[in-house]
Amino acid sequence: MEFEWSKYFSAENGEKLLRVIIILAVGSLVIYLITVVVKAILPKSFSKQRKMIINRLVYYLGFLSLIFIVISELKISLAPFFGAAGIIGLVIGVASQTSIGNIVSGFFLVSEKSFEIGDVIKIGDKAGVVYSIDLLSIKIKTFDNLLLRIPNQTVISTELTNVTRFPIRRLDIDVSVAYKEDLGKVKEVLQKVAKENPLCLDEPEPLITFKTFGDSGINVLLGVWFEKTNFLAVKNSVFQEIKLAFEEAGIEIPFPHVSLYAGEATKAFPISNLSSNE
Amino acid sequence: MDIENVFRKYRISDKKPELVEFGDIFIKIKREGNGWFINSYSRNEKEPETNDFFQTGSSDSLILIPALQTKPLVFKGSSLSIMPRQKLTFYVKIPMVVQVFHTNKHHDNLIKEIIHTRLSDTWFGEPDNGEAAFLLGSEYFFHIEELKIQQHEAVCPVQVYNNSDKILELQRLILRIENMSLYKVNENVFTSFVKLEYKGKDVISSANYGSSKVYHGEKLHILAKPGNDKETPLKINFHFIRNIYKNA
Repeated sequence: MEFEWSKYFSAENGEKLLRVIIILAVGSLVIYLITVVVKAILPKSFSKQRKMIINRLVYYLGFLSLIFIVISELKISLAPFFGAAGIIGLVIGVASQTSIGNIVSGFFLVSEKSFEIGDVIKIGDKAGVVYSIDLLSIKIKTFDNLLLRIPNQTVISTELTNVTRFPIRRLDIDVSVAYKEDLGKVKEVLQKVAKENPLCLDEPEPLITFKTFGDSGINVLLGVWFEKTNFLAVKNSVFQEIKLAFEEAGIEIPFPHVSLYAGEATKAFPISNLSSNE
Repeated sequence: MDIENVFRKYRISDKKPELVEFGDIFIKIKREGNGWFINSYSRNEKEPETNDFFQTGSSDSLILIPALQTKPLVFKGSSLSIMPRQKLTFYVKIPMVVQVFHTNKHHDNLIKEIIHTRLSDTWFGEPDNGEAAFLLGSEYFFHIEELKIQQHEAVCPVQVYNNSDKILELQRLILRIENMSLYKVNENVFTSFVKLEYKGKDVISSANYGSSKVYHGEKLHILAKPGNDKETPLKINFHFIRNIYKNA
């Protein structure tokens, strides 16, 4: 059987192909221009995430429309495609199960609005700034400047903490003081530290609670509120100021220690410092 | 020292530094080429070894203008109660900042803001949707003679009218300084007169920032206009915040 090249490489088909190439080129340009215009006219009040979703929606719808235009231009009947849709769907479904799962999860993530681009989030033991939210995954820029890709399915099935959702946060600092200390004085000193640090908010009030009788001392919690952008400055300054204030007030911060006894009736073992010559 | 000695236009020639005294700080200005070395330091500190440099162009004019802080201020009036249909007028002192402009007072020419007193941060509203502010403290005065105003402080007259049927306990009051002008009154600086009307817990209260002959004199001498260019009446809730986290 002889293959009829002339049937496919006719002048008519050549003209069709040229038309399709022109349609694709012009169509792509128009879609690109539309996305640029849409990006420019979107209200500034829209979040980055919403802008990105609208932009991508315009982009994908544009190309879907372009495909239909090309198909109609080529006068291809869609009936056989729809006939085979079930089988194709099954094949695609099996082959791209994970990807489709990620896409569906992506839609849930977007509709849930748990986080937006620019938010600081924690997923499992990873934390960083949301860099982009894509069709299959989200990308996080970690604090040591690495790009972390997390599949949407993982994000949706894992516990996620949005650290910067609210404008203010509370920083909890655990401090330990020796058993001999006056807890009233400890509370007073911690209140003073929070009050005198200009980055700590007076409202909501700082939280001071005595937590537990620990192995080496009494554990106290100081929770100070601050504007979310000041996290590092607050953490470092409060930490230093607590130590300084305790030193000035003569409050001992105990370190873990163990007292050894030979029996009920004895005192602790005497310890003497011997030089190497003895 | 008269405030007009501080807040004025300076013409400074090359190499001759100018030292401006403002409250407890010194502002050192030095012309260098087509720019300025500007720095500020406290009376109790040594002069810093490094200075900020601003390249501004050929104009040798520099203008110092008084201004207020960038965030609203919260006054804690926990001991103030106002009976129904009563008006309470009091004064608070607000630390000013110095804005340094080159050439003229156009906002594009602002090169530095010098803060005299760093106020403590605070929050006005709920933790999930409130607003960042500076804490003004709880000091207030009923009589202007009691104030002992310092050069870096502006006097803010506040009037609260309790137009409700219940006692108003003035817990936290937000002063939106972006609506305030600064006026020269004798040798002192006064802010706009803040008039608040409380109409009840479930009714939106109103706040009005404007001038008053009583406080600003017959002829107004404006030193600085409001940050948002208008002294507007506002419809705001101004006192509802309670310490709901006290026992958290």
